[in-house]
Amino acid sequence: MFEKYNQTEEIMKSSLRTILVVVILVLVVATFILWITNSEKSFDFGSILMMVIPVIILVYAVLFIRKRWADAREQMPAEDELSRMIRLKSGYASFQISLFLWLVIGSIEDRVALEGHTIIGAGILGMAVIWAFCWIYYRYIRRSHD
Amino acid sequence: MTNRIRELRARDNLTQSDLARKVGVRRETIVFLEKGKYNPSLKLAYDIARVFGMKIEEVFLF
Repeated sequence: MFEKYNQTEEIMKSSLRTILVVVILVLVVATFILWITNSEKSFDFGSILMMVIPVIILVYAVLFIRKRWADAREQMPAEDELSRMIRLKSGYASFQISLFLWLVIGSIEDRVALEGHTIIGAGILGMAVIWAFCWIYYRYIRRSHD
Repeated sequence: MTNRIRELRARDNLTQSDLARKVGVRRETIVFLEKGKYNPSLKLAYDIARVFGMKIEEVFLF
């Protein structure tokens, strides 16, 4: 009975996460379309950064949904104890590295000719990239997970 | 810690996916376990041992 309850809970959590990703995907696409149609066309660093972030989110969301779809077809759980551990380790490592990133950004802020919101955008993008690298490291390169 | 999962899986004619489905984990987790790259939780070790009809200490060797 408890196993059944745990399985149902897992499926609900997984479904909620998938719905959340789809909602975020729709919001990103809508915002991106609004931004493209209403903004002046310029190709400075800030604009290119603003183009890169939605593209990364879109690619991630498409890969995420495709993987969940394949898992569902093979009747595999979307997550288990190993994938949760890898996610936890990636989050922990990327948080520590990100602190140094923000220290570096804080120290060079006055020396670069960029607006505040562009620097913050670059920092957030940097955090996402660091998390992605940490996840790849723990998922494919690190040899053991004890 | 080593384990006999691969050997027992071959004995029972189970694929990695079959075993993963039976114990409710992803196939990658079974791959990591067989290669000795991951030590399972007590619950997962118990579930795997139960699939093979054995005790934990007969499947996982310390």
